[in-house]
Amino acid sequence: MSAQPAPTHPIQTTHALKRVWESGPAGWNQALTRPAVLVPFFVLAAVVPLVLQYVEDNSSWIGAQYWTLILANCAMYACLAVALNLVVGYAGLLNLGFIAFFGIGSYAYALVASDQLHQHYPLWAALPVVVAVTLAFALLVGVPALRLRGDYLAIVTLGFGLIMRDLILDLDRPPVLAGHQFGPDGLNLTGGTNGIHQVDPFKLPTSLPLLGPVPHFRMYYWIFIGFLALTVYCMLRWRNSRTGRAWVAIRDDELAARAMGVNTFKYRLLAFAMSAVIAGIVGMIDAAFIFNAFPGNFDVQQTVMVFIMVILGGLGSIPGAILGAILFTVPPFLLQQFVFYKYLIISIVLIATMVFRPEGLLGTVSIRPRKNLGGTLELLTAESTIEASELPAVTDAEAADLEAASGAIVDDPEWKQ
Amino acid sequence: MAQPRIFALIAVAAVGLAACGGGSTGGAATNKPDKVQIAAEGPFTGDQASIGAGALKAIQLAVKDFNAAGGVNGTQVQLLIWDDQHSAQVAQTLQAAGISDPTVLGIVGPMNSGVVLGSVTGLQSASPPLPFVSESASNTKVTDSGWSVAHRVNARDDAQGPADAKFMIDQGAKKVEVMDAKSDYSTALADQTETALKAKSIPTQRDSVKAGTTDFSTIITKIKSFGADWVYFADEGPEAAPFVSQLKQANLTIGQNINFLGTDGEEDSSIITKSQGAYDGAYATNITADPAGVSGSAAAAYVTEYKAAYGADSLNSAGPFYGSAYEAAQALLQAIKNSPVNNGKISRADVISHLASDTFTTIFGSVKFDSKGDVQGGGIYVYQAKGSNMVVLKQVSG
Amino acid sequence: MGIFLQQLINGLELGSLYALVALGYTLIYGILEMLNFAHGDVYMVGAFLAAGVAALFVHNEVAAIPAGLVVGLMVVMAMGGAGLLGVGIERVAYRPLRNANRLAPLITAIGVSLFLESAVQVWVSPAPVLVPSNALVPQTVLHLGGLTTPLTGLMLFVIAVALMVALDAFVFRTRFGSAMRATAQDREAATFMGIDVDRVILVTFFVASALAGMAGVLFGLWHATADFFMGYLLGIKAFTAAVIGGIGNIRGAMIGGLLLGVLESLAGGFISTQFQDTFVFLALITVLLIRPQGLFGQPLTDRA
Repeated sequence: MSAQPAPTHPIQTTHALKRVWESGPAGWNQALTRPAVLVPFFVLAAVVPLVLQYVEDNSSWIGAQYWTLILANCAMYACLAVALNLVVGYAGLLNLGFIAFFGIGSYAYALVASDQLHQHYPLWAALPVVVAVTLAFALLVGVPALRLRGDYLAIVTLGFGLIMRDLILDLDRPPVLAGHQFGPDGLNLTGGTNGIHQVDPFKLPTSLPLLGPVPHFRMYYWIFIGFLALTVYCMLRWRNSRTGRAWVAIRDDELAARAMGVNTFKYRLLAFAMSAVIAGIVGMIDAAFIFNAFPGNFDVQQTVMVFIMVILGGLGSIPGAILGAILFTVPPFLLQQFVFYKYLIISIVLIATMVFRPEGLLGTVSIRPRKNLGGTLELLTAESTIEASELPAVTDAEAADLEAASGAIVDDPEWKQ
Repeated sequence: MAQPRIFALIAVAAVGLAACGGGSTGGAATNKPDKVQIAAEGPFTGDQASIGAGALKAIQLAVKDFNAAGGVNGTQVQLLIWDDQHSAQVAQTLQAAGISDPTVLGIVGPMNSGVVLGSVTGLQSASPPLPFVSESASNTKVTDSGWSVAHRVNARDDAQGPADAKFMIDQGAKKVEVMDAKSDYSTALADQTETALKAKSIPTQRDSVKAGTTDFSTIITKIKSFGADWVYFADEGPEAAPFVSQLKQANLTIGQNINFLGTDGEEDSSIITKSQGAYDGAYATNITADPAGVSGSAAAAYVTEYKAAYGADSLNSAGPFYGSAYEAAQALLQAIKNSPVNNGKISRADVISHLASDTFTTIFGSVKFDSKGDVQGGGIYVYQAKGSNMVVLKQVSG
Repeated sequence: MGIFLQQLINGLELGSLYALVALGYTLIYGILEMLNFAHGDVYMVGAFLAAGVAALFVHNEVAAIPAGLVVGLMVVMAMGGAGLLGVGIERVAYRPLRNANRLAPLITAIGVSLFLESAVQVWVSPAPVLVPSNALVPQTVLHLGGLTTPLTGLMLFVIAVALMVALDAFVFRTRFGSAMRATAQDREAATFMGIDVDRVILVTFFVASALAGMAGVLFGLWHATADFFMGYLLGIKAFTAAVIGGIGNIRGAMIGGLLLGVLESLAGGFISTQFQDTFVFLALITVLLIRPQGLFGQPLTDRA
């Protein structure tokens, strides 16, 4: 956290801003994740639907509900992006089955809060169920898979995601394997291709003091924003804790970290499991929000979307993940006429970002090509940009001394830079 | 102050007079609505784009024709395009835009049963409720659940399933392989058909293929070992053509040692071309009619118009619902036109009541919705591939 | 027994397809240690190129050319076009990231894959296109006892095996092949030995992609169709085959492909067609957990 005193004079403010700008992505991230920035951001975000409602009530504009829903979707993706950033950006694990945990969360909640299994748990009972189920799957996949190399982990998680999708689609009837039926007739666990409908929303008050009646869409927008704030807060606490330092160490150079006694497996599993649980809880909120759980929640396309948000926003950067989520949620709704070209544009953006600026807009993790060989990742830090001109020049007297000491080598003009 | 109050009184009086004048049904010619919008909703991109793209074009054509004939008393109807990408979540967000805008009077679509079931509560509980006319949602729950906003021009699964089963039994089926393509439409339909077949003691074997599968050799071997004489493939996507080609390669020739019954999307004559003739003799049933196969000048004129607007080959990619989408749009637009205009506004409640009570003239003849929102007298159409065309054989029911 | 053999035949034919594409995955992984997610889509483009050539000559009768020549043109177009596409992708998307962290080219490959699928969907056809195989290859169905297979299926198997043998000879018996193996073993050391590593990588991508293109032609002639999504699932399964055989190992890829095809057919035929793909992925996960180096690979050192 920066120890700069709060600037008082306007010129001091611009100096401070200029310094932040020049300090590069690491500095921007530090600046953007200070409470002085985050708290107003979330307060502003919370107030937006009220402002929209006010504008709608007092003018001919209609769009408060539509825009609040778009922003709710955006907030949901922002939570997912922050969770993915945890596993990919902080821990460096390519979890290609990430969205499966979102789907598992939504189905777990739907199963305990709808007519599918005739259970109707309230939120306080459903939440531990969702967390437990998601955690179980995360451990089931993570414990064996995290011992593998990065690319293999990618494929195992991808395979896991595809298997989950198939299971969800197929389990609306008892499975028939080799001619034997496993399960009673009429066993319908997942609703198959239709998904689970009429999922109970959370039992929340429908009107709040001072604010009056709160429609469903606004309540859930607030829930998503609140959960996002909670997640960001947890990320920041972690980042500055022992766990966070362990993650950075593993990411920078796993071999060195292990040599220093860091239990790399444990920390990678922690990151993997935490990001899965966050995704699961987001899935739960989503199921309550749209009253449904769908097999489409497991589509690989969704994982790719969240990946692109994190990559473009910048790996390792929480504000970047949120920015990426905004950039990829809002324009598709606005540009409906380009919807045929959506994936084309998205893929070009992804390729261009990776080729020209792999650290994305606000990223602090460099996955750029290294000029020298060896090592794993480098952290871009503010101090690493040293211009050649800033180095002290070699005076002629010093050069003469060196020449005398080391012979003809020094004649090479490169030494005099 | 006195002056503004007088103006207010005059304004109220004027509104009152206008309300009285425009209150009659049939749409008084002097009353022109300020703005009329409808939305076309469906999976226009994504995994179901093959059925959505053609339907969208049909709806656009319907709106264009309607506006050219004068629109709603002179006001042109504007079409909003909502690509729900087969996702109820996206659908709910897009519908929110329409729900709060009172000039949006109805939706043509959604096309997928899953999307309808996933978003209808929002449409029904909106104030006022936003009606929709679907061209393809076939799940029975869509109209069985008592939603006043729900209407569809296509037949239902529980009509098509038993009708398909009866057709096969009448043709002498002894053992039927029932296949579906794991989509919200095909699985529900295949279930209905299988139940109907089992009720008549016909042995069945059930298999599913994933959408997008191109290699069917494993399943075909299973079919052979089962000894099926009929294959029933509920599918609306493009899997039929490679499937029947491979049937032929496995020595199962349609019409000779195997029979084939497909469903919506499989009465498409491009399958004949794409299977290089292996499809010849295959049957297909449809919950809506294919305008190119129905006799009647309105349907034929529509086909000509569609081809003129989108190209001579456009029917190949028009999907199975390019006729019913036009029909659904016609019904909705006519219901709007029949609704009274108050102060330049049409109310959705009036549109809903006109949808319930009026008879509409469409390319498939007269259409009237029953109390649940289904089309009265809607039948299942049976087609057969003969030569290079799909020929309408007859209409059947279960 | 008859059904078992029939499913075996189905599996071998399907497996030939997987093997050809798996070879490409393994070649590229061997040389660059990167998973080329876009490889399945190169196969798809090859199929479309073949379909395009076929459409030009068969339906439009541009010139009355004998079927054999058309097929030859299709092969040249598909292999050449796919090869060039592979090279192009390497130049544009992977080379800039060659020394970067492993994550980078993986993510880029996902982007390339999505790009190829969308481009074909939007600019060529969202619906499957016909490959007029009836006019190009004899449609005889071969019989042996109760077993059947179309001639085109047998063709697929035979040609695939022939190509695999040829590739094996190329990699293990020619000088350039040695250069490829050297680069695969240790890229830096290969540079020191005077091998033009860039050129080796280029040729590797070309060969890998050309094989995928050939697989596309063979598929088109076998099942008479091509669609923009065909590379996605096949790519994952071919990758599975490469891993099962031991990624980086050419013979492993060939055997892995055939094995996976057979596994899929048998599982689908005897257990459940619904869970056919699930079995394939379970096989992948099992192999990765029990024996990550695959059947023929060397035991891995656990480097991050």
